[in-house]
Amino acid sequence: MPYYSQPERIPTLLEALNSHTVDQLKILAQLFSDGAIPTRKAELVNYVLQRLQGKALKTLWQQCDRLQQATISEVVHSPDDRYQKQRFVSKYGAEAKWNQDNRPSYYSFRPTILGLFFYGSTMPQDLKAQLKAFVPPPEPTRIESLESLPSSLPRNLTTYDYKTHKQRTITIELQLMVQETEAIARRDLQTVLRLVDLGKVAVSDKTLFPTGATLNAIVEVLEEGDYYSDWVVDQSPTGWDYEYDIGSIKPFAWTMLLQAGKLVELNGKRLVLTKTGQKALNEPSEKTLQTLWKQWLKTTFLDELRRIDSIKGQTGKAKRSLTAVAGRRSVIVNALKDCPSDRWVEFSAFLRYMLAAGYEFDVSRNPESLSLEGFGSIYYNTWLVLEARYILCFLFEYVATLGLIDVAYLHPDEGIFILPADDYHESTLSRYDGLAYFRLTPLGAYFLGLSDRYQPAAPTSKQILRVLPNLEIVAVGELSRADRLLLNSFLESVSDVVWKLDQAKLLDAIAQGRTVKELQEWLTASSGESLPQPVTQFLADLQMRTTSLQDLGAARLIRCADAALAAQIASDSRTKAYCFLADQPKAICAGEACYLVVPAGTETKFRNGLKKMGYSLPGLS
Amino acid sequence: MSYVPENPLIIQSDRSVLLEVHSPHADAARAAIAPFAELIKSPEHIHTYQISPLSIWNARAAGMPVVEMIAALRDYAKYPMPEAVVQEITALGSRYGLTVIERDGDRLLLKTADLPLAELLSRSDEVAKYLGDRLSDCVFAVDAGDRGVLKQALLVAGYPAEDLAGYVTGDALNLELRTITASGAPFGLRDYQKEAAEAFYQSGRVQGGSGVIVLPCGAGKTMVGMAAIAQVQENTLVLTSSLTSVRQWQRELLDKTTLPPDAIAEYSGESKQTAPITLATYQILSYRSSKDGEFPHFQLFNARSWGLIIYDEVHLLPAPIFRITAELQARRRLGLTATLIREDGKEGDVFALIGPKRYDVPWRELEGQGFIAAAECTEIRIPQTTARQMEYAVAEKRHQFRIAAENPRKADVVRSLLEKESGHRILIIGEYLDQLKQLAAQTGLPLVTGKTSQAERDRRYEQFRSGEISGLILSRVGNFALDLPDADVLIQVSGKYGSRQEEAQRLGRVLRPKADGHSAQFYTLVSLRTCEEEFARHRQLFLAEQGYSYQIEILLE
Repeated sequence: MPYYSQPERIPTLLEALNSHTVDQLKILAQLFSDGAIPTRKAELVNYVLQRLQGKALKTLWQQCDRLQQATISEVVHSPDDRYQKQRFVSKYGAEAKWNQDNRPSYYSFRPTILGLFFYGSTMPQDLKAQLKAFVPPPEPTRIESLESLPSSLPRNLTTYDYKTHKQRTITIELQLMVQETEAIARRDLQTVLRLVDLGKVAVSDKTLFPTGATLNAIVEVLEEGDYYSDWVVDQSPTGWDYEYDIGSIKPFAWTMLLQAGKLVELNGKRLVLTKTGQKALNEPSEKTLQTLWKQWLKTTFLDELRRIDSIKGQTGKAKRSLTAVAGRRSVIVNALKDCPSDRWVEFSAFLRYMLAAGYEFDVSRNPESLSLEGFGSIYYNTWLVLEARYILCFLFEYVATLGLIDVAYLHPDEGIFILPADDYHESTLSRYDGLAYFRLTPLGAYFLGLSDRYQPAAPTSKQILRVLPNLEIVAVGELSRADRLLLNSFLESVSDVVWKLDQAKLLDAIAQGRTVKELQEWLTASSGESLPQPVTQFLADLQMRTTSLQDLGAARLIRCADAALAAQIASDSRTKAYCFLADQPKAICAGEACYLVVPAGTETKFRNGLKKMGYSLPGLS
Repeated sequence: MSYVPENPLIIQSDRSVLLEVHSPHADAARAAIAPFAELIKSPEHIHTYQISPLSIWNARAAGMPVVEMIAALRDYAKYPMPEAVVQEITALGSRYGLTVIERDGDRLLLKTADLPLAELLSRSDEVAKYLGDRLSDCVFAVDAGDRGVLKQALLVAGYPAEDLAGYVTGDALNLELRTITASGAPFGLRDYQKEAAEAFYQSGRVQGGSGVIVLPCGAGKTMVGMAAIAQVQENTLVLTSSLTSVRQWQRELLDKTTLPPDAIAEYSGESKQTAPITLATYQILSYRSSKDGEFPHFQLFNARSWGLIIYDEVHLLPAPIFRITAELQARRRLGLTATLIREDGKEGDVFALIGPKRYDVPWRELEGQGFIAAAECTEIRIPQTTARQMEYAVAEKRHQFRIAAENPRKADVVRSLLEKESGHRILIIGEYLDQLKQLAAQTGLPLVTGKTSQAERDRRYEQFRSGEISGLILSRVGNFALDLPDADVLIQVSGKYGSRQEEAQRLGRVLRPKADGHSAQFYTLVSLRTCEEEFARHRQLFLAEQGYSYQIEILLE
């Protein structure tokens, strides 16, 4: 947001010069080396104006150094007239020289040659139009990337030796953990859906956040656990003990993604699969992941900022100042689209790129209303505290979990070595601070529209199951956790790697919404061969048994005083459409039937018909 | 060791071992683990072996060290072997031989490997009662009559004894196997039959002379028994499960050995003779007039000085015979069976009283070598008429099975199968006599039931063997020890509630190898949408687990 002294737009150079004082104009005039400088304001304005026209202007531009020319070029070829310091520095690494003093005071006015082009950081529009004729466009903004990752990140650490009273610098090697997410996401999705199906995913009915037990249950079944599940070291190479309590990332993400994607819904305190969720069990994972991705981009179900525990005040008054989440995500996604596929991008480089390329957004319209745990209201480095942490969470927790990006990361406590320097807040602010690099996966490139089709990596055609004619299923390859969950939900476990097709267990699974077809297809796919005939017949019998009975809903059972009355009501034109005799066939044949069944749906019509016949049905005694 | 996908064994924590039969190392792995793991199931693709205390001790009795067992498993394991399994095998395997029974003149000695074990056993209520004087720290005197029960008690205590006390010498018998049978056909033992007999006898050493030979139906267990008699060359008592089996033994002995007819006697309800080779049934031996009375026919065990007792179909050995066998430990004992699994779970008694498993050959191997026929099992589901289905539906549960079993439409299917299998030798087996009588009337095939006299049975069987009749209808009598080697089609019209043993025995009737090598056909007729399907499923599982191909056909209305 510009200061009041930085106008958004200045139509003409003349207007800009006229807004200066005589003293300021004299200083500007001194920047030209030719002729005597007039003393009256109108003449001074004219003096400067004349020298900022035509060839003189071009000569003047040529006198600028590289950074000054870049500064002018950036504005001249921008739809905006204002100089964006943060953006420029992000792109070029430093600012051009704006002031002749090395340490200019706020009140001093000793601009460099750039002072002739910018007035309150804004370039007059007529001047911009003139410059556009010869100023070449600025170099494009590029994002740095790596073909492959180093195994560790060397960083210099300066320490102070209290004995010798000297500073010393040592180089430490920070070990990167890498997780390739695409294939895992596809399997984890199925795993978590199956866990939901087993009724093992509970959320708070108020916040809809997963419970602690649920997070533990999910992390247990995820193929590679959570990002930090395998983190066993408790001391950093710096010698510090890791202190930040990381908590849960992936399990939390999956619970929220499934809810936002409407694959699950709340039933009591547990999540159950919706029809879409049931369907997703049998659909290619990538299709469901794409649905989840699209839904997440527009969901208001969760503001990722809530996951930055150290930023306080989000649910209080400051909530009103928070911007719409969909807009923030869209900016990040646009920036992601500029990332090269299959190459590693350093997170801090991505941040710089976002600024340099103008992918800016605000998390809050009033950052001061939020506070940072241990620091108070957020006044300084708000981009790094709010927006950068928001991006970190979005990328690490959701984009990576969905398999769009691979991630390489350190412990969050080592984030200070990889995030842009923040002199004001030198501590770990979030569980995501350790994200060092990411890499767009083929799935990510497809979801972002960078490639027009996605071919999932061909599943290695390994045969993981053997289906035996004695109705046993043996795992002959290494099973994923999702495979095990599915086996356990359909089949009776016999021993470590053997399951059995059991009618009772299968009927239970079917009663919970599973289908025989689903099992049959999965068994065929996982065994890589057609099923033995006794097994297909067993499944066909089961299918027949599950479709032989139909639940037609609730009904009333009515006992008539005698068989004649029952027969009369059952055959009377006013009631026969709404009831039928309920006795055993033998009793009906013998004319001894005196029970009627009235489906709940036709009860009112039955009662009306009964009334017309001169009977009434008393309530239940 | 990590995951080795090409290895065929998956070792589970419950000590079961799965063998992938299509693995390139499957044969080697099978050979390596067979001595100490029992084959439980052998369906297509994956065979299941179980390592049990008995299977380990069987292997130890055969001289296999524990380290070899563990090495065999490790060498072929697909996944790292569970450490608990290693420890269990080590612990169990090292127990065998810690107690040894030896002879010392007229008495027996029980020697323990160390003092703590001696103390442990002397304090065990089950074992101590059979221990006599303590002759030294680790040696107890044992009454010769307690040899069997002591072995049983030691097995229960988890310290199976190695019995090196030897055997008494029975009356001599001069028996040679012929090279040309009496009927004029060339004869010779198959290699595995020779190996089995030798594994039992072990050249007369005390380490041999008792134990069980496991061979599938149709593999020639009778031949192994005769080979054992030929090696022992002493008077032999042969116990079988039925009179038909007695007659089969008699026929085979006369046909394939040099024994004269008067050297063979039948001890049965019809005849109570004894001879150097005496054939008896379990039924006659375990007969007694009242529940608490004596077993009068047990005197047969002492009627002669038997040098060998053969227990045919040892998995059917009744409890009284176990008891008497406990007292016969000084005689050589040979068990013959197709399966060590007993429905009553008394495998331990077989181990302690008859002896450890000495030899087995999986049927699949014999099938591969052409010694037994391959079989194809087909279950045909036949719908009932609507009226009969309704009758079934409203019948009391206990009557439902019979209604389903006697589905009249099965007769039509039987007729069509007879047409289809015309030219083959067909057995029709059923549970209910009314149904079988109707089938006999409709098909014109003779019926043999429990009420058929033995002479009539023998005549019918002989007619079938000679080809005079192409089919026979059998009641439950057809389940066991029926020697009709040319039968190649079996139609089961009703069964006995899914008994695994019955199924195996019935199928065994058609497993004798066929001259042209064709497969045997086993049809099971089942009423559609009835409890028969459930029972059939049990049978189906059993047969599939035995490795037979199994198909289900459903007849439409």
